[in-house]
Amino acid sequence: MLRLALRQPLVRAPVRASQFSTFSGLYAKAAPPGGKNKAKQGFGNKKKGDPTKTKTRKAGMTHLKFRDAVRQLGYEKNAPALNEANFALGTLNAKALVDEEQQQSVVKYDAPTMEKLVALKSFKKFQYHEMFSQPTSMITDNTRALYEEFVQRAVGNGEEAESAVPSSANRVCLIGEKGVGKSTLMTQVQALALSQAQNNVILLHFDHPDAVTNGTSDYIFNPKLNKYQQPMFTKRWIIAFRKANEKVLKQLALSQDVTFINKKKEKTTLKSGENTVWDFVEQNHDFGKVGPTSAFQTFVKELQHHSANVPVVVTVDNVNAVVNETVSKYFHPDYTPIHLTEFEMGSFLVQVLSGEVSFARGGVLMAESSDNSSAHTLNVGLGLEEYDPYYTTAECDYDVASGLLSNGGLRTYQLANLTKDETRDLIEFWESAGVLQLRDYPRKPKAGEATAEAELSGDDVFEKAVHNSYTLTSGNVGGLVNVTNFSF
Amino acid sequence: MGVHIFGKSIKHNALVRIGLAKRIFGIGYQSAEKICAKVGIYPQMRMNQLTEPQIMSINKELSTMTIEGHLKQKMIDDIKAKRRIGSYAGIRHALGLPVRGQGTRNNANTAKKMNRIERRFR
Repeated sequence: MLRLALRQPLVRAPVRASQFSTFSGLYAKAAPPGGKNKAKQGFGNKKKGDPTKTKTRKAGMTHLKFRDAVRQLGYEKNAPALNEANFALGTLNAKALVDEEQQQSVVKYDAPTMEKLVALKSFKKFQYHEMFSQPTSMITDNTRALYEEFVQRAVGNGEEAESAVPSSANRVCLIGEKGVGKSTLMTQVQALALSQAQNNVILLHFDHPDAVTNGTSDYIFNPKLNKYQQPMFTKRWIIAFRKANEKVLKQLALSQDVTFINKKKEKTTLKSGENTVWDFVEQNHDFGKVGPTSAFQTFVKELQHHSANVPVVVTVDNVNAVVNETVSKYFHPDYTPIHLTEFEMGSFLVQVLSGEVSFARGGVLMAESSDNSSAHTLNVGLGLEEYDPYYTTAECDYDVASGLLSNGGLRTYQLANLTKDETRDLIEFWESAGVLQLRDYPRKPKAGEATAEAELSGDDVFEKAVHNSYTLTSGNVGGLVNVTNFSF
Repeated sequence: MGVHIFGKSIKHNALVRIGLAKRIFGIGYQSAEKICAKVGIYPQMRMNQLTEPQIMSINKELSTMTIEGHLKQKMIDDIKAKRRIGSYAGIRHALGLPVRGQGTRNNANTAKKMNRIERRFR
């Protein structure tokens, strides 16, 4: 924050009085009424200045609050780099995780993985990634547990790829208090799945599934499917998906012939065996077409077809935002609200979460968010709470909850806070990276003393900081970031 | 730049449902939502995102409703009818006094401004 304040002042500069003055206008030469020098009217007649001269922009002015400004202004560009020169960090991969010798707790993501995770929008806005030049994360017991419980079941255990299970039998929901690291763990799982399968895995990620129901996308009715389609949302999601999975999609041949109208309005036929799934998602613009289309259904069929060879890992963050509020902001023409399952994407989400749509190899990982309403649907669906028949649909959507309970039900994973040792490791990393502000505890000199020695110094100060942070937050990572003094 | 709907210029960056409710006499938030639902406009759509066919559909929907001048005329006619039959409400309108039992010891300024047989509208 200090750095931003120094380099990019958020305070508006005082306006000079002369800016309001009309005095200079009195002496301005009047424009000639007509003739040769008559000013042309219109928008395209602006005088073009010196083309070599670049436009100067005012530095650092933003109307955004700090929390938003750090993201908007690319604050991480000025953050300390985590490269070999100043601070070497290991990368998160499955091999290193099981390797007993490499027990480095704070790691970064390797470049290809980072590219994919950024494309999937796995790094979220308020996760303090601006502290360093690239996102870091900490391997904890949670990471190891999820690796064993979820990644190995979804992708297979090393060379025993057949040990992977169908996604309907591998559904896990992450639960835990705010700031405990559910979204970060989900990102770690994605990275571990990529690493475990040597990038031969398809990742489907919904970072904000509530976009299906919150009324921000257009919608049209598809009478064939009897569902509403959301072209804008589907198109954006497919673009993110294909960017993250480009390499693997280029290896998968289409299982059926597909005909569609391409961007140039020409009829295109992709042939099974010859063309790939990548060709389909790249050339087919029907996903964003404002009209009924079966493109998404074909896409899901292709994924299911290939899931026997390439595992499909579905991750849904912020799941309770959509499961707990199943009545959308959209309306039928008769002004009755549209239910989540009446949307093509919403229906797909619910079917995947409930195991109705299953991939031969893979898994479904979802994480609840602590920022949403406290309806009971998710808790009932997870089996954490008994269904009360007096619940209204807004309080608990029985159909969705019973769907989650079907096909063997979901497993829950309660995230644990950091232990004191893990807290020490994290704070140690911050100190090594040069972002931690620690100062000695000075005391006032007593009478007769010229100077007083500090009460604590060096290791003692560090240990006290660890102890204080742990006592204040019980090892909650979000809390630790809040209570720690950072120096940039 | 505004978007013209039913002869009214509506701010280009207003949500459709809000813009309709704010600018068109006789359209409230719920009526605006109903129109949007019928035409297939998503809740967060803004005025400048409307296509020509959508604007025409909205105009078509609005033309079936009693709004603007027609609604104002209807209200005036209703007041006149009340006056004509000699009802208490009609008399109060004619006297420029509150109609619905409000006190007149102090103020009653809104009634004085608006209540008359040729009622004024804001």
